[in-house]
Amino acid sequence: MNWRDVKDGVNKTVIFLFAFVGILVVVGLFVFIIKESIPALTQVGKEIFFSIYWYPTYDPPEFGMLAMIIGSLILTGLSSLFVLPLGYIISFFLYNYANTFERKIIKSTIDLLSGIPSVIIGTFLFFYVSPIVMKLGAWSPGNLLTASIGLTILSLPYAASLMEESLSSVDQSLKESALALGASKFTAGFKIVTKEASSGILNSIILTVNRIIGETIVVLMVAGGAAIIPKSIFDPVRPLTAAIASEMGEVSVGSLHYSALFTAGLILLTISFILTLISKTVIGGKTK
Amino acid sequence: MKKKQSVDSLVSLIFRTISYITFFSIILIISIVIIDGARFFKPSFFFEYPKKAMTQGGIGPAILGSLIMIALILLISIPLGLLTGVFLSEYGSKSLIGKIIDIAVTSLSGVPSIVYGLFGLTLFSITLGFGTSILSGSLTLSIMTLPVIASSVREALVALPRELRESAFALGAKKTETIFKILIPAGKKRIITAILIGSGRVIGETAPVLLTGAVFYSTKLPTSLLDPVMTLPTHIYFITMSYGVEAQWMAKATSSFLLILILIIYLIAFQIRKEEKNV
Repeated sequence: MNWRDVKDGVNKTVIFLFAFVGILVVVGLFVFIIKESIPALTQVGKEIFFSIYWYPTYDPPEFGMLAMIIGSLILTGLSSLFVLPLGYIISFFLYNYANTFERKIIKSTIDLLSGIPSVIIGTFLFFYVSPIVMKLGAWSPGNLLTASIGLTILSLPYAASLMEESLSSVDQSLKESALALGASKFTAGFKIVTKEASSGILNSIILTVNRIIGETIVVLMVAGGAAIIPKSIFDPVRPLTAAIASEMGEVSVGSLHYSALFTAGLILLTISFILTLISKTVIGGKTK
Repeated sequence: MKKKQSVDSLVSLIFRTISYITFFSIILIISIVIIDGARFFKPSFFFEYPKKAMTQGGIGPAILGSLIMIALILLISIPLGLLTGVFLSEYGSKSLIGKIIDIAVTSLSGVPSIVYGLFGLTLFSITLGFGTSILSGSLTLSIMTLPVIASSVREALVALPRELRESAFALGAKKTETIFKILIPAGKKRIITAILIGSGRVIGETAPVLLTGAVFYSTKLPTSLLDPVMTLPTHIYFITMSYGVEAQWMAKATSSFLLILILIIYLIAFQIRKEEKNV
């Protein structure tokens, strides 16, 4: 053993220890968030998932999160309905029809969009878009439609760039043979390349949906915040993320309300974990 | 044949139009935020405290707060992310522990920011007793940045040619010597790009800071890491949501400044990425 071997060993140990932090954080996330959720889960019971009455500050308080869970799901559904087709169209355009210049500027602009913080998009919508939506018939400055627009803007970079990557990763010769056989560019791209890239596109969809469901600030600012089940796109909603962010500042640590907000966090953590694992399996199945 | 061509040109026209509309909408949003806020820029705006219920004064303490936070976050997350990325690329691919760390890092990248906020709140602010502070906020955001840096470092190292490793080994270099003296310097530009993009993201993070580190308004500058802090994004959030029309200018001006800051960081990152491709 000389000095260089010792140094190599020490460095290796440091690398292993640091890499281990990732595991610690995942375990810590679950341990701490489950631990803080337990009081609400045991004392409120299953009502916490199945009741729509969220009155945490009433006496007696009620902690039903169903309206907020549905709020999160409707918001995610509506935003996905906007962003997934839009993302696909843009990625398909970039892949199939755009010239080099168009590719370059559109891709960089979409990359830039991914850097705009959600608080800036929220403020933008609040000042410039909400008044227009109010004129269209909304009765609250925050509502389902405005929030979905915000989520669409924020998740578009994910959808478009991930889908574009999966289309581009398909072997070029496949498209060329289709073209040579007389298929139109559209048929080659849509029926051949997209089909071949389907697992990558599915993966893009999962990651985009995951990103939408966890987004907090935009929905906190422009979703309206009423814990009701919306009946139209102009109604306000209160998704789980917004409830956590807006109420956490006012609860006393250790109270049932505090614990119920951690339960909301646990729901989000579980959803994101499952979606990430599915996405990992989708990619894994493809490459191996 | 004609029919096929007409389908193609029709689809191409529609898709091109939609893409262009999206492109111009993004440019429009960026321009409105920057131009409508920059109207209020003057030297005092960048140095003074907010005054008279946010209707006058400036954002000096929020700028300082964001800078302190970003410095601390980079100090923690660069070594953490770099070494995790090194592990995943150089040691991790085959072993069980490597697979577990890989899954852990991937899962972390999908966890919503508000959940990190909850985690930071219970672990750093309450259990460890750091309270609502710069330290709690920075630690929380560092953990969030870890997967971003780690996966980019891994990609940067995996993309390096095998010969680079083999020639280093052939010359008798140890594995970690190869990593630190050959591989990391060779992937330097991509790693710096990743760190810049990570910083651009984290400087705009709001939700976790609201739970762990932010103070709405403070009349003095933080004197220790255990003091709470004003940051640019939380400042924008508080003003937009809790103040009237009189204070809106400050939210607009702060948004404009923060966006310019992030655009500069991104443009530098893109420039480095471009140089790296041209080499």
